[in-house]
Amino acid sequence: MKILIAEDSKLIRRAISKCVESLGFECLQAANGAECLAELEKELSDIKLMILDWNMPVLDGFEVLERVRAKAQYDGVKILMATSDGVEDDVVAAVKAGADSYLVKPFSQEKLSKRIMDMVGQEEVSNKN
Amino acid sequence: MKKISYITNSQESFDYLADTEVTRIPIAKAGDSDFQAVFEKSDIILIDQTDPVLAEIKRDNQPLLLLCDDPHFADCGRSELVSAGLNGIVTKETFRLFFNQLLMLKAVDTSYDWEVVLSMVSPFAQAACEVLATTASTRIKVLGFVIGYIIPPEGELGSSMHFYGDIEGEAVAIFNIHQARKLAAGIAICSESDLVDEDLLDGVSEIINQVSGRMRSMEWSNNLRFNIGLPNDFHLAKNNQAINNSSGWVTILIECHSQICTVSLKASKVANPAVSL
Repeated sequence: MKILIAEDSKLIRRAISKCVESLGFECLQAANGAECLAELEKELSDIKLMILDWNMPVLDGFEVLERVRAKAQYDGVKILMATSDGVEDDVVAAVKAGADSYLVKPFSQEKLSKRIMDMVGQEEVSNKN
Repeated sequence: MKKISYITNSQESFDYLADTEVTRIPIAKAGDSDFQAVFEKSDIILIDQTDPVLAEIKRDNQPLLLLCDDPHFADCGRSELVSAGLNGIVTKETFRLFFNQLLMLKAVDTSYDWEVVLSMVSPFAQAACEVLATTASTRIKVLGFVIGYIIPPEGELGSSMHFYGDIEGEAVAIFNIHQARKLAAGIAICSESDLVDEDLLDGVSEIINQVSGRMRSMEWSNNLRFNIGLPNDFHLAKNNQAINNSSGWVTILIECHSQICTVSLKASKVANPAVSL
């Protein structure tokens, strides 16, 4: 199973990918929303979770969210918004647009690990069994 | 020879400042006409309490600073003090480190509408401290604020962020190499030796991104809404960001990894916001 990270900060990508790989998932990375959509189309069958930053160049995370949720072929992909602000209106908008969960930076590795396992952990365990 | 007027009942020594002449004025005598001439000839005026001193001081254009042992982020941007003419609150050590820059400050420009930016300073300081504390895993402490744009003595790397919406503004964070390296390692959860130069700028940008983002979700008195752009990183030497004399800036001074970093903020209300939030 693969997890796709879309985040313009290389340092954040590094931190999140460490967490993802420590949980036994393969990690794909994109530096902006456009790269993220290209990667999703290429690897769709294996991607179970996308971790999206909101504020990115080229195409921001919210636009990625809307485009992904507009296509039925991506219904099986869960989406976690990982972003720098937790403005209530934005959280509500993201959930309404189809985000499955939301984390506000800075977050700990423990918090991220737990969230990932809550979202896709059971499915991974089932696949391995 | 730089002249300092210090309104205080203490016997604080300023021996650490070279080429300065310090005149101590007892607090009870701050309003005496004898000392007005002293104030007028001073390059900078220091006080260690505001009541009843602030109202007594008559001066030309000299900066006026409150020396405080233990400022809190809640002290930052107190509008009633700025309205009374205070240029800022700093610790004594901060005054020493930033002496040359503080001398260049002028009396607060009262023609500028400080309402919005001053209302943002305290929550912004809080947001900065929270983000840095989580990232840096070290002591983070507000050391004060200054009306003006000043930079850390060894500041090298910075990042700026624009705000738009009900307010138009900018935030700039500046760190030295040592701080930037530790912050980048904290963000990436890696060893400092694993970092390359561009990672340090990435880290500084991520800090201003997270601070600005956190600020958006905090309650502050004006309830004005804004969006943030993408961070823009820079080297101070290459981009000549050292001097910025335009009105409207407030700089928060923060201890991070045993040295001082700055977060400067400028913001004003937009008359007819074009952006729908």
